[in-house]
Parts: sequence; C-alpha cells; structure tokens
Amino acid sequence: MKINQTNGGLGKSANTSAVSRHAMAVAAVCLAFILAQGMERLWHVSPPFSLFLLAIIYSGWFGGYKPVLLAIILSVLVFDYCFLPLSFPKTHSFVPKMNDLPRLVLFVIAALMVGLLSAAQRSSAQSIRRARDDLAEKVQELNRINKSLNAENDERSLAERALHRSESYLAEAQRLSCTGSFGWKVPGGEIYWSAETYRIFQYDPTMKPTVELVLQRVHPEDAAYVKQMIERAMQDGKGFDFEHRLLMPDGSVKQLRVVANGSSIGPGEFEFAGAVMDITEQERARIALESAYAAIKKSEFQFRTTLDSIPVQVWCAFPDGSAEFQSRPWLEYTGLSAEKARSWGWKDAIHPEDAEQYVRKWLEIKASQAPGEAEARFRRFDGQYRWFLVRAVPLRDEQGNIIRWYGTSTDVDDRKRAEHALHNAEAALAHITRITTMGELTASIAHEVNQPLGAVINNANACISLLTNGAANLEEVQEALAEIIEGADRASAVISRVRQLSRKVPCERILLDLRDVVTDILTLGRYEAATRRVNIHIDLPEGQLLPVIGDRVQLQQVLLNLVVNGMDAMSTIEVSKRVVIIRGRSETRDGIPEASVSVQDAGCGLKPEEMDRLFKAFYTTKPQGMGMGLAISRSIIEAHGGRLWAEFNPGPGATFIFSLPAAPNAAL
Amino acid sequence: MTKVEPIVFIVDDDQLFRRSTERLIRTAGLNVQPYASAKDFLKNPRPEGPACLVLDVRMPGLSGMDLQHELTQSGIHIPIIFITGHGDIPMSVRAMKAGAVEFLTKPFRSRVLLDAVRAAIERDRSRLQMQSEIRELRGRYEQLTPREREVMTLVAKGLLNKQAASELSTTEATIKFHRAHIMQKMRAESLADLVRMTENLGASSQL
Repeated sequence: MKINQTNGGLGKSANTSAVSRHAMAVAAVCLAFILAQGMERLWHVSPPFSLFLLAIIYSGWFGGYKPVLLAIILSVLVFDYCFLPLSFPKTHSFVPKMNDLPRLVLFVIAALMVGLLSAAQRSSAQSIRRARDDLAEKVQELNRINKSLNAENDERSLAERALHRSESYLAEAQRLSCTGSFGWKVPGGEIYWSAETYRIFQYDPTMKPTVELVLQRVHPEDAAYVKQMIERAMQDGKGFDFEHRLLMPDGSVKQLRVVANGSSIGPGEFEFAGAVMDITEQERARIALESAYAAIKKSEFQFRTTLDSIPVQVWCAFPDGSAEFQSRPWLEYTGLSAEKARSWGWKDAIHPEDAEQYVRKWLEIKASQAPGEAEARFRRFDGQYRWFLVRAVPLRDEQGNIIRWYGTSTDVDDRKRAEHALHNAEAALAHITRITTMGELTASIAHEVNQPLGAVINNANACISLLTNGAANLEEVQEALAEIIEGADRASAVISRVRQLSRKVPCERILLDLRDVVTDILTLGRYEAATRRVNIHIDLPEGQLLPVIGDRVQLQQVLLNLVVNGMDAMSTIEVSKRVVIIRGRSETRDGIPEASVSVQDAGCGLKPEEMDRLFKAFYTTKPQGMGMGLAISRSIIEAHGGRLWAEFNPGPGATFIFSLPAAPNAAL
Repeated sequence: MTKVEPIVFIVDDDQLFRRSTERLIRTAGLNVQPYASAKDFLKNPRPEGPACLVLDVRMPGLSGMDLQHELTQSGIHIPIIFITGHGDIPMSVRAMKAGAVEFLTKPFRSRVLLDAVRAAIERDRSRLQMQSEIRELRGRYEQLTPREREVMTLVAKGLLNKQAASELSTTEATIKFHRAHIMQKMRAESLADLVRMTENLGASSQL
C-alpha cells in the first residue's frame, strides 16, 4: 500500500522495539558520561550536567516515557557517583556532600522536566503523524472512486454518441431508400412514425399519426383494399405485406409497399413494427427495364431476320466452338433444321473426307483467338457436295475475352473447279515444256542408253566366243556377265529417269535432298555437255543439303532447263571458256532455313532490261526457243513455296538460282 | 623386217563400254590396248606393226574427231573405226572423208566391229607392206642413173623404144641397153611389172 511505503521510515521508528529504545537511552547516557569525563580530565572544567540533559532529551525524543525514565535514573546515579565530591573519600558511596545536595536535586528536577517534556513532545508528534497518514489514505480512496466514475461516464457518453450516430444513419438510410418505419399498437391505436414515414405521407412531423391520416392519402381506387387489409390486421394481429397507391395533395401518385410484423403483447393486444417503402422509382425502373428488354428482343429478332434475309451464310458460335445459330441460307443450303445444326450438329454437313481436317482447323483458329479461314466440302440438301470457304472472326468483351465467334460460309466451288482446271493446264504445259527440253537432249539420252547397251552386247558376244572356244576361261566369263548386269542396270536407270521426266504424272511432294536432283540431271546432261564441249563443274557441300519437300520430276525439269539454257548461252564462245558451275547450298535467308541450287554460266550474259522479261512466257533469246522454259520453271518453284531469280556475274555470263524453304522439323 | 603382232587400240571414256570392247576383241584373238582418253593414247608409244584404232566420237576434252585430225596432221596413218552413241550423217561423212575406215553406231553387232577391226588391220598390214615395198623400190630407183630414170619414165608411159630414142635424141640401141639395165636394177620381171613400180613410186612421191 502506497501510504505505508511513503511513510515507511516513520512507521519503522514508531515500531522500533522497546529493547532498542532502552538500549539507545543507556548508550546516550554512556556517551554523555564519556564526554563529561573527557572534558573534566582535559580541560579541568567542573562536570557539566547539561551533557546528561542532552542525553535525557535525546532519549525522550526518540525513546518515549520508559526510556527517558531509565536515562534520568542512570544520569542521576552517574552524576552523583562520579562527579560530585565524595563525602567519604575512602568509601564508595552515593551519599553526596551536603553542600552538593542542592546541585543534585536541581539536576534531578531539571532532568525530570526536560525528559518528560521531550517524551510528551514525542508522543504528540507521533499521534499527529498517524492522523496525517489516515487522511492521506482517505484521499487516495476518494481519488480511486472518482476515476472509476469518470470512466463509467465516458463509456456512457460514447454509447450515447454511437446510438445517436446509428439513429442518424438509420434516418439517412431511410431517406435514401425512401423507406419509413412505423410502430402501431392495437387496439390502443398508438402509432409511431419515423421522419421518413412523415415525408412519404407528406405530413408535418408534429402531427400525431393515425389510421385516418393514412387513409386520407390512399388512392381512392385502392382505399377499399387498404381498409380491408388494416381491419384484418387489427383482428388477427399477424404481419402483412401489400402494395397500394397514394394520391398526394399535389395530384401525384406514389406506389407504396407496406410490410409489418405483428407480435402479441397481451391478451387481445398486438404491436406491429413495420416499414413503408416508396417504390415509385423502382416501379418506374422496372417498367423501363421491361420495355428495354422488349426492345432488345425486338432488335435481336430484326437482326436475325436481317441475317436470314441476306443471301450469305452466316453463323455464330460460342467460345467453345459449338454453334449458337446458323442463318437461314445456311440451313436452307444444308437442309438441316436449326435445332439439328446447333451445337456440333453442323458437322454432319461436312464431307466425310474433309470433316477431320476441317474441325481440326476450326479448333486451331479458336485456339489462336485470331480471325481465320478454312475450306471444306459441305453437303447440299440434295446430297451434292460443294466447296465452301469459311471465315471466322472473334467478338470480344471490354476485357478482351472472346464471347462469340461470327463467321460466313462462302460457296467457292466454281472457283475451286477453275483453280483445279488451271492447275491441270499448268501441269500439262509443264509437261509439254519438259518434253520439249527432253527433245533437245534426244542425242544425249540415246547415247546414255546405247552406251551400256553396247557394252552388254559386246560382253555377251565375248562370252559366246569364250564358251565356244572350249578352253573356257570361266573367270573371264564371270566378269563379263557381271558387267552385262551392270550395263543393263545402267540402261534401265536412264530409261526410267527419262520415263519419269516424260510421263504425265501428278505432282508428288516428298522429302528430298536437292543433291539427288543435281545427280539426276548430271546423268542426262553430262553427254550433252560433252557434245557441246561444255565443262560442267559441280560444287556441293560435304554433308547433305537441307531437306526440302518437293516433286522430284518437276525440280529435275527446272534444273535441266537452267543447265540447258546455260549451255545454250555459251554456244558462241571459245571452247576453253565453256563452263557451267552447279552449286548447292544450305543457308538461312530472313530467318528461314532453305536449300538453294545455282547454275552459273560464262556465256553471253544478260542485259539489265532483260531481267524483267526473262521469266515472262513466250520471251526467248533463242531462235528455236518457245520462251516457256523459265516461265514454267518459275511457276514450278513458286508452287513449291520457293523463289527463282537471275543474277549478273562479276565476270561474263549469268547465274540462275532457285531456293526452297527447308522442310519443317528438318533443320540440320 | 620382223613379223610384229597386230594391235587394236581402244579410246573411250566410258569404262564399262571400253572394257566390254576390249574383252570382245581380246576373245577374238587380237592384242588390245585400251585408253580412257585421246591424250593418253597420244602420250603412249605405239609399237611397229599393223594396228587399228577403235575411237569414241564424243569424249570430254579431246574428242574422237579432234584426235583423228591430230593424227593426220602428224602424218600418222592408223586406220580408225569410229563408234558413237548417236551418230548423225554429217558427222559420219566428215569422219569418212578424213580417212576413217568405219563408222559404227552403238549398239552395233559384235561381228560388224570385229570384221571392221580385222579389215582395218589387214588394210594397215598391206599399207605397211606397200610402204616397205615402196621403200625397196625407192632404193632400187636411187641406183638408176639420171639417163636411166628418164628412159624409165618414158617406157612406163608406154612409149616404144624408137619413140623414146627420138624423144631423147638417141639411138634405139642405146634405149634397149638402158632398158635392160633398168629391168635388172629394178628387178622387174616384165614391162607390166615396171609400169606398176613406176606408178607406186609416183603415188608415194605424192603422199
């Protein structure tokens, strides 16, 4: 406890034990005695009994009544024994001389006076201290009580403020939501209205609310109904919830909804707590929404009608790729019903051969999230299939998410047929030029066949004569037969190559190495080159060229054409300078890996103005040329996704180069 | 003059064909020496004795026709049998005019080639023989006096002794004397023999 602690020193001294207080008195007297003795011996002054008085005062002040009496007795005895002249020097006696008696009496009286006084002083000081401590304790107590009262007070005012705030929130909420509250006791008829209720009914808040006031405002057409509802509530005390109109003094009409819960508060007595809601605005919004929805419905209908009436097949699909609807032309073409074609039903209309590829393509477009197109044959209602080009475009919301796919299907059957016919015509033309080029090489081809054939005949005849001679050298015969086979194989290889080139074969795309094409051409062109006194130099890389996808025969045709052109260009120049260099390269152009073959001649070269016309049909510099070779070659290379072009040489002559993109997944 | 085995040279760049031709001719019992190019043929020495050349027309580098031209220029007379994979008439005419013995188009019958080879060797053999004969005749002719050469020319022309005497302003007896010497020196057995010798000499001088 705080008080005890602060006054601890005092309390302790007050509680100092009686023994120590008495000891203290004895000590004080002893000290006085020692000092008195000292003074008498040192300075020879008569013994000052005031020293003993000081010891008595000290004992009284700090010890109280009992110690002071002890101190007085001891002091008197010591004073008497030691300091007064002895009456009988040889004997130890307390009897003083008669002339010293008054001094002793005086000392006793003074000691008693001083001692009692100081002891009294001590006891009164102690009682005052005690009274002060009690008072301080009381004050502390009071402070504590005051503090707790203050805290209580704060809490209460906070709660009041919160209550006030929530009341104002409620009022604000009521105002904003146009909802008033009410309380109603039946049969007492006491009614409580909130401020908003007054505002809704447009009454002054000072007025006392009654059922009559309510009925005054009810729209005459709803009056009977409202009365009926009120009466029923008064009878059964159950809650209610109904709507009716109010007719306001200014003639405006409000739509009101009344909701209340009833609770019993005694036999035959009820209390209703409820709300009145001004739902005029809500009602208006609902009506507006309904009409807007109707308008949307109507415009959607118009949109669909428009889609149906334009002569284009239009469709719409969900983000997952399933169809939402198809326009009437689509349905009429396929003969499918809208229900059947919906979702994935439309797949039935695709040609079985195209279905897998087309659906895959469609899913790819969907995954790419970008506009795309695909082609497939779709079945007409009469069972005939026609080619369609289907284009799809995504429709996105504000966040960029695809919410629909819109698309059109266009009949491209006629175009497709024309393309096919054109393709056939091109193939035929390519074939004719190929045959023409072959015609120029007839001599070489004959040589290439006759050479091994001659060897076969020679060897066969050698065998006959070896065997007829009797002394058959079988080893020689064996060698001859092996060479017969070799020759026959060579001849048949040439023939099949010629047949390949001259046959009218459909385009066949395979994975191939352009080096093989160079080798093919060399077989046919080598002898031609010898005849024309042209040196063909081959420059191919060590490893294979980047593989390409292509038609071997067509590529042979292109290369053959370029080589023959190169040899033609050198017919008028000196024999020693007639060189054709065929180079094969793998390289990357514009980030696309490709394989290229170039044919360089040292002939008459090209004029700059020829460059443009060079690849045009019927342009030729040769007297007997058709002017189709380079045009066809270029169309073949471009159909392979590659390029064919000419370059000037640093020296004489020109270089023709064709490059093809490397086959996918075939990078070296 | 020692008897030398005839030899057939083959020049063709196509190994398969070259080997087959070599085998065919070898089995026919003739010596064969194949070469892959005209240059190889020119580089290597040719033995004395009858020979013939089986030559491919079209070859890279020096062609068959080039080789023929080269040989003619160098005065080498070897019968040439041309073979070609695809012969045309102008080419064969040109070759024949330049002295080819045969122009064969592949594939040809082996018999035809072998016959041509044998004929060519025979021809070369007789050419060589004639060459040595003429060389012999020339030796004899060298022994004649200038007067005797004059008489021989006139006699070979078919002039009578009397005509020759008047031509040379001498007597018939002198002519007779010279004629006997000529017949003896030239080892002619008859006048007809002498006439042939004169012709041969005349032809060789024109060669």
